[in-house]
Amino acid sequence: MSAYEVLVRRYQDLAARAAFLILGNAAEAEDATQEAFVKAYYALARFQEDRPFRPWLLRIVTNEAHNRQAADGRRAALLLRAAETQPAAENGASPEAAALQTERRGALLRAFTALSDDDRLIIAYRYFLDLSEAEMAEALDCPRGTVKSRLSRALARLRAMLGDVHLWAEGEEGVSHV
Amino acid sequence: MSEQGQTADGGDLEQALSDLGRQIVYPPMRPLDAVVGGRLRARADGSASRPVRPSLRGLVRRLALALLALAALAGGVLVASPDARSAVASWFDLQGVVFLYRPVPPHPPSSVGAPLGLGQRLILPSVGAPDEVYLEALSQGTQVSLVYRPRPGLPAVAGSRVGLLLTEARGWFEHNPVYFKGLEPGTRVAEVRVNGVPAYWLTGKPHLFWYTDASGTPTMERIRLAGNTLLWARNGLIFRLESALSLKQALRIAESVR
Repeated sequence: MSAYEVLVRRYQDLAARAAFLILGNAAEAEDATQEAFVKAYYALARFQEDRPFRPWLLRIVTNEAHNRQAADGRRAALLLRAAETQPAAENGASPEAAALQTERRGALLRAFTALSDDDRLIIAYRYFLDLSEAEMAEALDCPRGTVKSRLSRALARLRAMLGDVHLWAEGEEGVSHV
Repeated sequence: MSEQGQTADGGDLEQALSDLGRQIVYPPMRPLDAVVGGRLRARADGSASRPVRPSLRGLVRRLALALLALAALAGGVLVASPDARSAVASWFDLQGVVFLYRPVPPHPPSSVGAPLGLGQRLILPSVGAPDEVYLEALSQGTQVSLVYRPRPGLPAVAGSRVGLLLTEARGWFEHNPVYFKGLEPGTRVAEVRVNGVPAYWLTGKPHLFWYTDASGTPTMERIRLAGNTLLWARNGLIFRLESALSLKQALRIAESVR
Protein backbone atom coordinates (compact mmCIF):
# COMPACT_ATOMS: atom_id res chain seq x y z
CA MET A 1 0.00 0.00 0.00
CA SER A 2 1.34 3.43 -0.85
CA ALA A 3 1.95 6.02 1.80
CA TYR A 4 -0.85 8.18 0.51
CA GLU A 5 -3.29 5.34 0.94
CA VAL A 6 -2.39 5.37 4.63
CA LEU A 7 -3.42 9.00 4.68
CA VAL A 8 -6.68 8.29 2.88
CA ARG A 9 -7.52 5.53 5.30
CA ARG A 10 -6.73 7.74 8.28
CA TYR A 11 -8.91 10.63 7.17
CA GLN A 12 -11.64 8.95 5.14
CA ASP A 13 -14.23 8.99 7.90
CA LEU A 14 -13.73 12.67 8.62
CA ALA A 15 -13.81 13.63 4.95
CA ALA A 16 -16.80 11.43 4.16
CA ARG A 17 -18.81 12.79 7.06
CA ALA A 18 -18.14 16.36 6.03
CA ALA A 19 -19.16 15.56 2.45
CA PHE A 20 -22.30 13.78 3.58
CA LEU A 21 -23.33 16.60 5.88
CA ILE A 22 -23.22 18.95 2.87
CA LEU A 23 -24.59 16.71 0.15
CA GLY A 24 -27.01 14.57 2.13
CA ASN A 25 -26.56 11.71 -0.28
CA ALA A 26 -24.35 8.69 0.31
CA ALA A 27 -23.32 8.10 -3.31
CA GLU A 28 -22.61 11.77 -3.94
CA ALA A 29 -20.68 11.98 -0.70
CA GLU A 30 -18.51 9.04 -1.71
CA ASP A 31 -17.78 10.56 -5.12
CA ALA A 32 -16.93 13.91 -3.57
CA THR A 33 -14.69 12.31 -0.95
CA GLN A 34 -12.83 10.29 -3.53
CA GLU A 35 -12.35 13.27 -5.80
CA ALA A 36 -11.24 15.43 -2.91
CA PHE A 37 -8.51 12.97 -1.94
CA VAL A 38 -7.24 12.89 -5.51
CA LYS A 39 -7.19 16.69 -5.62
CA ALA A 40 -5.54 16.87 -2.21
CA TYR A 41 -2.77 14.60 -3.47
CA TYR A 42 -1.91 16.95 -6.27
CA ALA A 43 -2.25 19.95 -3.98
CA LEU A 44 0.11 18.59 -1.34
CA ALA A 45 3.06 20.39 -2.84
CA ARG A 46 1.26 23.60 -1.88
CA PHE A 47 0.38 22.38 1.59
CA GLN A 48 2.30 24.27 4.27
CA GLU A 49 3.46 21.55 6.60
CA ASP A 50 3.47 23.83 9.60
CA ARG A 51 -0.28 24.22 9.27
CA PRO A 52 -2.78 21.69 10.57
CA PHE A 53 -3.70 19.03 8.07
CA ARG A 54 -7.30 18.21 8.97
CA PRO A 55 -8.78 21.63 8.19
CA TRP A 56 -6.73 21.87 5.02
CA LEU A 57 -8.20 18.59 3.82
CA LEU A 58 -11.69 19.61 4.94
CA ARG A 59 -11.45 22.76 2.89
CA ILE A 60 -10.81 20.67 -0.21
CA VAL A 61 -13.59 18.24 0.67
CA THR A 62 -16.18 20.93 1.33
CA ASN A 63 -15.20 22.83 -1.81
CA GLU A 64 -15.67 19.68 -3.81
CA ALA A 65 -19.02 18.98 -2.15
CA HIS A 66 -20.25 22.53 -2.66
CA ASN A 67 -19.19 22.49 -6.32
CA ARG A 68 -21.12 19.31 -6.88
CA GLN A 69 -24.09 20.75 -5.10
CA ALA A 70 -23.97 23.86 -7.29
CA ALA A 71 -23.52 21.82 -10.48
CA ASP A 72 -26.46 19.69 -9.55
CA GLY A 73 -28.56 22.81 -9.19
CA ARG A 74 -30.48 21.61 -6.21
CA ARG A 75 -29.98 20.88 -2.60
CA ALA A 76 -30.55 17.31 -1.66
CA ALA A 77 -32.68 16.75 1.36
CA LEU A 78 -30.31 15.99 4.18
CA LEU A 79 -31.44 12.79 5.73
CA LEU A 80 -29.69 12.44 9.01
CA ARG A 81 -30.49 9.70 11.39
CA ALA A 82 -29.42 9.34 14.98
CA ALA A 83 -28.69 6.02 16.59
CA GLU A 84 -31.41 4.49 18.67
CA THR A 85 -31.42 5.50 22.29
CA GLN A 86 -29.47 3.13 24.45
CA PRO A 87 -31.53 0.69 26.45
CA ALA A 88 -32.87 2.28 29.59
CA ALA A 89 -30.89 -0.07 31.78
CA GLU A 90 -27.66 1.26 30.34
CA ASN A 91 -28.14 4.94 30.95
CA GLY A 92 -30.25 4.63 34.01
CA ALA A 93 -33.27 6.34 32.48
CA SER A 94 -36.78 4.99 32.55
CA PRO A 95 -38.39 3.89 29.24
CA GLU A 96 -40.49 7.05 29.36
CA ALA A 97 -37.45 9.27 29.83
CA ALA A 98 -35.66 7.46 27.02
CA ALA A 99 -38.59 8.03 24.69
CA LEU A 100 -38.65 11.69 25.63
CA GLN A 101 -34.95 11.92 24.96
CA THR A 102 -35.41 10.39 21.53
CA GLU A 103 -38.15 12.86 20.76
CA ARG A 104 -36.02 15.84 21.76
CA ARG A 105 -33.10 14.58 19.76
CA GLY A 106 -35.35 14.20 16.73
CA ALA A 107 -36.49 17.79 17.12
CA LEU A 108 -32.91 18.98 17.31
CA LEU A 109 -31.99 16.94 14.24
CA ARG A 110 -34.89 18.37 12.24
CA ALA A 111 -34.02 21.91 13.26
CA PHE A 112 -30.39 21.39 12.34
CA THR A 113 -31.38 19.96 8.96
CA ALA A 114 -33.53 23.02 8.24
CA LEU A 115 -30.63 25.44 8.74
CA SER A 116 -28.80 27.08 5.85
CA ASP A 117 -25.76 25.32 4.38
CA ASP A 118 -23.37 27.74 6.05
CA ASP A 119 -24.96 27.40 9.46
CA ARG A 120 -25.05 23.63 9.19
CA LEU A 121 -21.42 23.48 8.19
CA ILE A 122 -20.11 25.57 11.03
CA ILE A 123 -22.19 23.72 13.59
CA ALA A 124 -21.16 20.38 12.12
CA TYR A 125 -17.49 21.33 12.22
CA ARG A 126 -17.69 22.25 15.86
CA TYR A 127 -20.05 19.70 17.35
CA PHE A 128 -20.15 16.76 14.94
CA LEU A 129 -16.58 16.66 13.65
CA ASP A 130 -15.02 18.07 16.83
CA LEU A 131 -12.87 20.71 15.18
CA SER A 132 -11.21 23.22 17.46
CA GLU A 133 -11.82 26.90 16.94
CA ALA A 134 -8.39 27.23 15.35
CA GLU A 135 -9.08 24.34 12.99
CA MET A 136 -12.43 25.84 12.05
CA ALA A 137 -10.72 29.12 11.23
CA GLU A 138 -8.35 27.23 8.92
CA ALA A 139 -11.10 25.16 7.36
CA LEU A 140 -13.33 28.16 6.76
CA ASP A 141 -10.42 30.41 5.84
CA CYS A 142 -11.44 33.20 8.16
CA PRO A 143 -10.21 34.72 11.44
CA ARG A 144 -11.06 33.03 14.72
CA GLY A 145 -13.17 36.00 15.74
CA THR A 146 -15.31 35.48 12.67
CA VAL A 147 -15.67 31.82 13.52
CA LYS A 148 -16.96 32.74 16.96
CA SER A 149 -19.50 35.21 15.69
CA ARG A 150 -20.69 32.97 12.86
CA LEU A 151 -21.08 30.02 15.20
CA SER A 152 -22.90 32.16 17.72
CA ARG A 153 -25.35 33.38 15.08
CA ALA A 154 -25.88 29.86 13.76
CA LEU A 155 -26.64 28.61 17.28
CA ALA A 156 -29.06 31.48 17.80
CA ARG A 157 -30.93 30.55 14.61
CA LEU A 158 -31.00 26.91 15.64
CA ARG A 159 -32.32 27.87 19.06
CA ALA A 160 -35.00 29.97 17.45
CA MET A 161 -36.08 27.05 15.28
CA LEU A 162 -36.34 24.82 18.29
CA GLY A 163 -38.78 27.26 19.84
CA ASP A 164 -39.90 25.94 23.18
CA VAL A 165 -38.54 22.43 22.76
CA HIS A 166 -36.80 21.47 25.97
CA LEU A 167 -33.57 19.69 25.28
CA TRP A 168 -33.61 18.28 28.79
CA ALA A 169 -36.41 18.13 31.25
CA GLU A 170 -36.00 19.76 34.62
CA GLY A 171 -33.66 17.79 36.81
CA GLU A 172 -32.38 15.38 34.16
CA GLU A 173 -29.64 17.46 32.61
CA GLY A 174 -27.14 14.75 33.38
CA VAL A 175 -28.83 12.08 31.32
CA SER A 176 -27.28 13.04 28.03
CA HIS A 177 -24.00 14.11 29.54
CA VAL A 178 -22.79 10.57 30.07
CA MET B 1 -36.38 25.86 26.51
CA SER B 2 -35.41 25.18 30.05
CA GLU B 3 -33.12 27.74 31.56
CA GLN B 4 -31.91 25.38 34.25
CA GLY B 5 -28.30 24.39 33.78
CA GLN B 6 -27.81 26.69 30.84
CA THR B 7 -24.76 28.78 30.39
CA ALA B 8 -25.15 32.30 29.11
CA ASP B 9 -24.45 31.14 25.56
CA GLY B 10 -26.77 28.20 25.66
CA GLY B 11 -24.55 25.47 27.02
CA ASP B 12 -27.38 22.95 27.01
CA LEU B 13 -27.84 23.39 23.28
CA GLU B 14 -24.15 22.91 22.71
CA GLN B 15 -24.12 19.80 24.87
CA ALA B 16 -27.14 18.45 23.04
CA LEU B 17 -25.39 19.04 19.71
CA SER B 18 -22.27 17.27 20.89
CA ASP B 19 -24.38 14.32 22.03
CA LEU B 20 -26.22 14.33 18.73
CA GLY B 21 -22.93 14.39 16.84
CA ARG B 22 -21.90 11.18 18.52
CA GLN B 23 -25.18 9.53 17.63
CA ILE B 24 -25.60 10.47 13.97
CA VAL B 25 -25.55 7.40 11.78
CA TYR B 26 -23.57 8.06 8.63
CA PRO B 27 -24.10 5.84 5.60
CA PRO B 28 -21.50 3.12 5.24
CA MET B 29 -18.81 3.83 2.68
CA ARG B 30 -16.39 1.39 1.16
CA PRO B 31 -12.70 1.98 1.95
CA LEU B 32 -11.37 4.50 -0.53
CA ASP B 33 -7.64 4.08 0.06
CA ALA B 34 -7.13 1.50 -2.66
CA VAL B 35 -9.53 3.29 -5.01
CA VAL B 36 -7.73 6.61 -4.64
CA GLY B 37 -4.35 4.91 -4.82
CA GLY B 38 -5.36 3.17 -8.03
CA ARG B 39 -6.50 6.43 -9.60
CA LEU B 40 -3.25 8.12 -8.67
CA ARG B 41 -1.14 5.29 -9.98
CA ALA B 42 -3.05 5.31 -13.23
CA ARG B 43 -2.25 8.98 -13.63
CA ALA B 44 1.33 8.64 -12.49
CA ASP B 45 2.33 6.77 -15.61
CA GLY B 46 3.89 3.77 -13.93
CA SER B 47 5.86 4.79 -10.89
CA ALA B 48 5.64 1.57 -8.93
CA SER B 49 8.29 1.12 -6.31
CA ARG B 50 10.62 -1.79 -6.31
CA PRO B 51 11.69 -2.94 -2.91
CA VAL B 52 15.39 -3.18 -2.52
CA ARG B 53 16.72 -5.50 0.10
CA PRO B 54 20.48 -5.47 -0.12
CA SER B 55 22.66 -7.49 2.14
CA LEU B 56 23.81 -5.27 4.97
CA ARG B 57 26.74 -7.43 5.96
CA GLY B 58 29.91 -5.48 5.83
CA LEU B 59 28.14 -2.16 5.64
CA VAL B 60 28.54 -1.34 9.30
CA ARG B 61 31.46 0.98 9.26
CA ARG B 62 31.73 4.06 11.33
CA LEU B 63 32.20 7.23 9.44
CA ALA B 64 32.98 10.41 11.19
CA LEU B 65 30.19 12.60 9.86
CA ALA B 66 27.33 12.73 12.32
CA LEU B 67 29.32 10.97 14.96
CA LEU B 68 31.64 13.91 15.23
CA ALA B 69 28.77 16.13 16.15
CA LEU B 70 27.58 13.77 18.80
CA ALA B 71 31.11 13.27 20.07
CA ALA B 72 31.48 17.00 20.41
CA LEU B 73 28.34 17.10 22.52
CA ALA B 74 29.37 14.16 24.62
CA GLY B 75 32.73 15.80 25.14
CA GLY B 76 30.96 18.46 27.05
CA VAL B 77 31.51 21.47 24.82
CA LEU B 78 28.66 22.96 22.93
CA VAL B 79 28.41 26.54 21.89
CA ALA B 80 24.80 27.42 21.65
CA SER B 81 22.37 30.05 22.71
CA PRO B 82 21.14 29.51 26.29
CA ASP B 83 17.65 28.98 25.01
CA ALA B 84 18.85 26.01 23.08
CA ARG B 85 20.38 24.30 26.07
CA SER B 86 17.47 22.42 27.52
CA ALA B 87 16.11 21.53 24.12
CA VAL B 88 19.37 20.09 22.93
CA ALA B 89 20.07 18.36 26.20
CA SER B 90 16.70 16.69 26.30
CA TRP B 91 16.83 15.90 22.65
CA PHE B 92 20.03 13.97 22.95
CA ASP B 93 19.06 12.44 26.26
CA LEU B 94 22.56 12.92 27.52
CA GLN B 95 22.87 12.55 31.24
CA GLY B 96 25.54 14.41 33.12
CA VAL B 97 26.83 16.26 30.12
CA VAL B 98 28.27 19.68 30.82
CA PHE B 99 27.33 22.36 28.33
CA LEU B 100 29.45 25.47 28.12
CA TYR B 101 27.63 28.39 26.63
CA ARG B 102 28.76 31.56 25.09
CA PRO B 103 27.07 33.86 22.59
CA VAL B 104 26.66 32.48 19.14
CA PRO B 105 29.04 34.31 16.82
CA PRO B 106 27.62 36.13 13.81
CA HIS B 107 26.79 33.88 10.91
CA PRO B 108 29.58 33.74 8.38
CA PRO B 109 28.55 34.84 4.91
CA SER B 110 29.00 31.31 3.60
CA SER B 111 26.07 29.88 5.50
CA VAL B 112 25.03 27.18 3.08
CA GLY B 113 22.17 25.76 5.12
CA ALA B 114 20.35 29.01 5.88
CA PRO B 115 18.21 29.00 2.71
CA LEU B 116 16.84 25.59 3.68
CA GLY B 117 14.75 27.00 6.52
CA LEU B 118 16.31 24.77 9.15
CA GLY B 119 15.78 27.09 12.08
CA GLN B 120 18.26 28.59 14.50
CA ARG B 121 21.90 27.99 13.73
CA LEU B 122 24.26 26.36 16.21
CA ILE B 123 28.03 26.16 15.96
CA LEU B 124 29.89 23.10 17.13
CA PRO B 125 33.51 23.69 18.14
CA SER B 126 34.71 20.73 16.17
CA VAL B 127 37.00 20.62 13.25
CA GLY B 128 35.73 18.77 10.25
CA ALA B 129 32.18 17.64 9.89
CA PRO B 130 29.56 18.85 10.36
CA ASP B 131 29.97 22.32 8.95
CA GLU B 132 26.78 23.70 10.43
CA VAL B 133 24.22 22.58 12.97
CA TYR B 134 20.69 23.95 13.19
CA LEU B 135 18.20 23.76 15.98
CA GLU B 136 14.55 24.18 15.08
CA ALA B 137 11.61 24.34 17.45
CA LEU B 138 8.74 22.18 16.29
CA SER B 139 5.20 22.29 17.59
CA GLN B 140 6.26 19.35 19.75
CA GLY B 141 9.92 19.11 20.67
CA THR B 142 12.96 20.13 18.74
CA GLN B 143 14.64 19.16 15.53
CA VAL B 144 18.37 19.23 14.99
CA SER B 145 19.93 19.36 11.55
CA LEU B 146 23.58 18.71 10.77
CA VAL B 147 24.76 20.22 7.49
CA TYR B 148 27.83 18.99 5.62
CA ARG B 149 29.34 20.83 2.72
CA PRO B 150 30.31 18.92 -0.40
CA ARG B 151 33.72 17.31 -0.26
CA PRO B 152 35.50 14.44 -1.93
CA GLY B 153 33.22 11.46 -1.65
CA LEU B 154 30.30 13.69 -0.72
CA PRO B 155 28.96 15.34 -3.87
CA ALA B 156 26.65 18.32 -3.73
CA VAL B 157 22.96 17.62 -3.95
CA ALA B 158 21.55 19.11 -7.15
CA GLY B 159 20.37 22.65 -6.69
CA SER B 160 22.17 23.16 -3.38
CA ARG B 161 25.58 23.69 -1.89
CA VAL B 162 25.01 20.92 0.60
CA GLY B 163 26.65 17.50 0.49
CA LEU B 164 24.67 15.88 3.26
CA LEU B 165 21.92 16.84 5.66
CA LEU B 166 21.21 14.71 8.71
CA THR B 167 18.09 15.70 10.63
CA GLU B 168 16.84 14.23 13.88
CA ALA B 169 13.61 14.83 15.77
CA ARG B 170 11.57 13.05 18.39
CA GLY B 171 8.96 10.78 16.93
CA TRP B 172 8.26 7.42 15.44
CA PHE B 173 6.60 5.77 12.48
CA GLU B 174 3.21 4.56 13.51
CA HIS B 175 2.64 2.73 10.29
CA ASN B 176 5.00 0.84 8.13
CA PRO B 177 5.59 2.80 6.07
CA VAL B 178 4.01 6.08 7.06
CA TYR B 179 6.00 8.49 5.02
CA PHE B 180 4.66 10.36 2.05
CA LYS B 181 7.30 9.70 -0.48
CA GLY B 182 4.79 8.31 -2.92
CA LEU B 183 3.14 11.66 -3.24
CA GLU B 184 4.91 12.68 -6.39
CA PRO B 185 4.74 10.64 -9.57
CA GLY B 186 8.16 9.17 -10.17
CA THR B 187 8.99 8.82 -6.50
CA ARG B 188 10.19 5.42 -5.43
CA VAL B 189 10.26 3.94 -1.96
CA ALA B 190 12.19 0.88 -0.91
CA GLU B 191 12.24 -0.80 2.46
CA VAL B 192 15.74 -1.39 3.80
CA ARG B 193 17.24 -1.76 7.28
CA VAL B 194 19.59 0.38 9.32
CA ASN B 195 21.26 -1.57 12.09
CA GLY B 196 18.43 -4.05 11.92
CA VAL B 197 15.57 -1.57 12.19
CA PRO B 198 13.23 -0.85 9.28
CA ALA B 199 14.25 2.07 7.13
CA TYR B 200 13.00 3.65 3.94
CA TRP B 201 15.06 4.68 0.96
CA LEU B 202 13.38 7.38 -1.08
CA THR B 203 14.37 8.47 -4.53
CA GLY B 204 12.72 10.45 -7.28
CA LYS B 205 10.73 13.52 -6.42
CA PRO B 206 9.90 13.29 -2.75
CA HIS B 207 8.58 16.34 -0.94
CA LEU B 208 6.92 15.24 2.23
CA PHE B 209 6.80 12.38 4.66
CA TRP B 210 4.69 11.51 7.61
CA TYR B 211 5.57 10.52 11.14
CA THR B 212 4.10 10.65 14.62
CA ASP B 213 5.63 13.32 16.81
CA ALA B 214 6.46 13.18 20.51
CA SER B 215 2.88 14.03 21.48
CA GLY B 216 1.46 11.28 19.30
CA THR B 217 0.22 13.69 16.66
CA PRO B 218 0.60 12.68 13.01
CA THR B 219 2.99 15.21 11.54
CA MET B 220 3.98 16.01 8.01
CA GLU B 221 7.55 17.05 7.36
CA ARG B 222 9.23 18.37 4.26
CA ILE B 223 12.29 16.88 2.62
CA ARG B 224 14.72 19.78 2.24
CA LEU B 225 16.96 18.66 -0.58
CA ALA B 226 16.16 17.30 -4.01
CA GLY B 227 18.35 14.26 -3.49
CA ASN B 228 17.93 10.79 -2.09
CA THR B 229 16.64 10.32 1.42
CA LEU B 230 17.06 7.59 3.99
CA LEU B 231 14.50 7.60 6.81
CA TRP B 232 14.63 5.51 9.94
CA ALA B 233 13.46 5.56 13.54
CA ARG B 234 15.32 4.44 16.63
CA ASN B 235 14.71 4.88 20.33
CA GLY B 236 11.95 7.42 19.83
CA LEU B 237 13.91 9.48 17.33
CA ILE B 238 13.27 9.97 13.65
CA PHE B 239 16.44 10.22 11.55
CA ARG B 240 16.53 11.61 8.04
CA LEU B 241 19.63 11.56 5.89
CA GLU B 242 19.46 13.54 2.66
CA SER B 243 22.25 13.46 0.11
CA ALA B 244 23.21 12.60 -3.44
CA LEU B 245 24.84 9.39 -2.20
CA SER B 246 23.95 5.86 -3.22
CA LEU B 247 21.91 3.64 -0.93
CA LYS B 248 25.03 1.74 0.07
CA GLN B 249 26.88 4.91 1.01
CA ALA B 250 23.89 6.36 2.84
CA LEU B 251 23.42 3.17 4.84
CA ARG B 252 27.05 3.24 5.84
CA ILE B 253 26.68 6.71 7.28
CA ALA B 254 23.32 5.96 8.86
CA GLU B 255 24.72 2.96 10.67
CA SER B 256 27.52 5.07 12.08
CA VAL B 257 25.06 7.29 13.93
CA ARG B 258 24.89 6.23 17.53
